[in-house]
Amino acid sequence: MPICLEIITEEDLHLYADGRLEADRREAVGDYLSEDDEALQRVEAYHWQTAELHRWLCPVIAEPVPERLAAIVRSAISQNRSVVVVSSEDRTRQSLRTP
Amino acid sequence: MLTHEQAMAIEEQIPALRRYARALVRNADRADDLVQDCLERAVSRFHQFQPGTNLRTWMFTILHNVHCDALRRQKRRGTDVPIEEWERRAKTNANQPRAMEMRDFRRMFSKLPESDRHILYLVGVEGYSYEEASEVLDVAVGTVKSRLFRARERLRTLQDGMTEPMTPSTNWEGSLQTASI
Repeated sequence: MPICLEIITEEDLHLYADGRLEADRREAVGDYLSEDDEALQRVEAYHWQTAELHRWLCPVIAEPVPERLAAIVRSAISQNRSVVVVSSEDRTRQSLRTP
Repeated sequence: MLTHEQAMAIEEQIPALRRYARALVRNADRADDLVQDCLERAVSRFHQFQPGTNLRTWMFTILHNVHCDALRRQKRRGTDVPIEEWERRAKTNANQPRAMEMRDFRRMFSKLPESDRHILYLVGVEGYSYEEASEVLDVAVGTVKSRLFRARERLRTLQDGMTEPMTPSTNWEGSLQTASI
């Protein structure tokens, strides 16, 4: 019977809690957790923390953006566009004058 | 000055910036003040943005820096909460055992040191890889990992403290306000 010893790291536990492990690694960590209650409790706590963060903060995305914030960006839009129009008119006028 | 397209691209990031700020500053208006400072800096330094790189990451970096600058100013004014205090706060601001509600989680989260809140947000909510988080926070990937692992353990300690009966003691936020006068 082959003995397979996987070394499970601290990082593995966090990646497992975040659902970021590849299938085979996930399975190895899952096996490990079924044998280690303390590690399992940690992973569950990390998972819960992230779920709570989502529950708390994700509704913020759907809130309307306050006008004072949008105004900062909009007021920085360059007015060059009208300058371009004027200068192209100048060029047209100039080319009309040119015989 | 920005082109119309650049302004649109920045404006699209505002909801995500507001969400990040909310994780750092409990009061919603003050969180928006942080976003405002971030937007002003982003607009004035937009020439430094490298086209083709991730705009959100760039703006998160600015928000992180603006927040750190604000905290440094606060520290000079003597209203800073030393990082070592987080553990004491967890103990002195203890509650009676009861079901964990969202406001309890928010309170718990706000007790964490600033660097913990940044990393927990970026990895947990934004889904950033350790590499992306290291870019925003301007630290090595190894530092991101150790900070993340430590932050989650701190939060877990606070979580355990919330569900265990403890002697009510001084209200931390009350004493903080007194100290800042």
